Amino acid sequence: MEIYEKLRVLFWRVGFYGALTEGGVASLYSGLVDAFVKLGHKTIFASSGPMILPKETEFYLIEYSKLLRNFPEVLTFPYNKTSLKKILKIVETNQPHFFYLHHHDFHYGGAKLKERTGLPFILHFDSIEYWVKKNWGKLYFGNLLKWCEQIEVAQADAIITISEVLKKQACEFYNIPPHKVHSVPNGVDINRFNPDIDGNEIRQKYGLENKFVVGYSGTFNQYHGVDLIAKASKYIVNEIPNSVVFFIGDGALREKVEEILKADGIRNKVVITGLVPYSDIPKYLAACDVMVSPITHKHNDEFFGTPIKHYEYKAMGKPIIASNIGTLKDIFVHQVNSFVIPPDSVEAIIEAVKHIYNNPELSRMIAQNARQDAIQKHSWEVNARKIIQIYQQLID
Amino acid sequence: MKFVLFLLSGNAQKIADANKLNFEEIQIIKLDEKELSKPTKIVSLIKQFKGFKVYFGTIDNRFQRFQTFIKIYLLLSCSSGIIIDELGQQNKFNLTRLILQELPLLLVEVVYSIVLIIYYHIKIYLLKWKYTRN
Repeated sequence: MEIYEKLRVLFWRVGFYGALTEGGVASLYSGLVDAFVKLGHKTIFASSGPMILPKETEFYLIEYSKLLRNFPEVLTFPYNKTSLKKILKIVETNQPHFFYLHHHDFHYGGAKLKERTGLPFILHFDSIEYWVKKNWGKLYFGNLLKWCEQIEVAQADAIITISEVLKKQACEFYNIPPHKVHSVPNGVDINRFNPDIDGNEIRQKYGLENKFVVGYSGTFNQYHGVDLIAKASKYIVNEIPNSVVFFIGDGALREKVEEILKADGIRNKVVITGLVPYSDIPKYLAACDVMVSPITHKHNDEFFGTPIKHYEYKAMGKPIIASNIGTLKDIFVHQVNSFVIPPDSVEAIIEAVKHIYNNPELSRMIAQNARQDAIQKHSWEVNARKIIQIYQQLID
Repeated sequence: MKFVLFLLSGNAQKIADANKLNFEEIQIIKLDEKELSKPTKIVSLIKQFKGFKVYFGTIDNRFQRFQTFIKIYLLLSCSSGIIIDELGQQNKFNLTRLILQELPLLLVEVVYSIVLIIYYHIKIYLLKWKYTRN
């Protein structure tokens, strides 16, 4: 049975940092909601904080307690109860067909909402939080975290992972039947990110006119490989005439990046923008001639992520230099839609940038193919249709 | 007067503009939020900027955790300072308010947090048993 009726979809965002309108989770939600609206469905959004959403979306704010702000994680425990009370009222008022929840650490409210209402529950799972906290952050109350994840994955009717690698890892870690898990990689708004956007304003602002701009965008953290680009910068600016390395973003490794650039005596030849509003990112990307994403993964398993920025680069029709690890092998094909390099290699970054600079024809070809890929495979509308298909399977 | 901005989140330029500070005059130190759990490091960092006017910058103060701890660090380093954000909101260090209001509230939070941790360990364990037993 194919769904022709207008669906009412409830999106539920529970993260404390969901209070902020920038970042990957915000992009995911706003991209998906926008796509559902474009497809003619009604969207209802319950959120822990403000969100930028289409005007057609019914928005409800469910805030965290203001008292618990000085200890990590504790504030999320009671939010399960307080948010459930409010979301039940929202369900009663709007009568959605199903609800879509981005998994957040220490949250088990999805299971409770499903139990109380019988609504189909689609859980978006972009990482095993227990793994993330243990390996990339700080793990407090490990058992509680695991139990909450076990509750949510057990009760979800369908689980969406952002990659096949994560699907495999999650199924093994939490003993989830594979038929319940669907791999739907992240996506991009192909209209907002497109090759016709003019980057001149940004080029003027940062003095990049008539230069070959090597771009990096994203959080300054270990796994994005920003320090590798910093190390490569000296060779790039010295060996490629009139070139500049353009760092768009900020983060924990900012100081380290600054130190590398200063030690190499090239701080004045490199631009670091600091954090940029998400709405401005397309203009910043438009100002770049090539984008570099040397993702690195120093753990004994495969890299499971699909950073949204990769789809944005593709949609912008930019030549991309990316490392060939984990799920990225499915997104990037060497000399077809990107220039693929081995991970953790500064030399490979330098050589790849030089190769792209010296081969404008190749650069143009991979950029065009990347854009085509974005249109055909990675738009949020493609993802929204997949979610509707999953819902259809559930009700069938 | 010299200024230092410990940037926890957000854009330094936006924070400076929203709080009517001259961006060119500010020394910016990027600080990861995780670092706030290291009192010795933060206190010695603040002490390095003796004589500076100290700011902690965030995207939005309403969603910035650990603000009482930031003020305790300011107290321990014998400095005063302000937590400011991109919206122009300010949370100023005030010794009287810290002692009479914020520290007692922190104490309440400690006790409440301990109760919550115990309660939710039991509750979530039972939920896990209930929802995953099949």
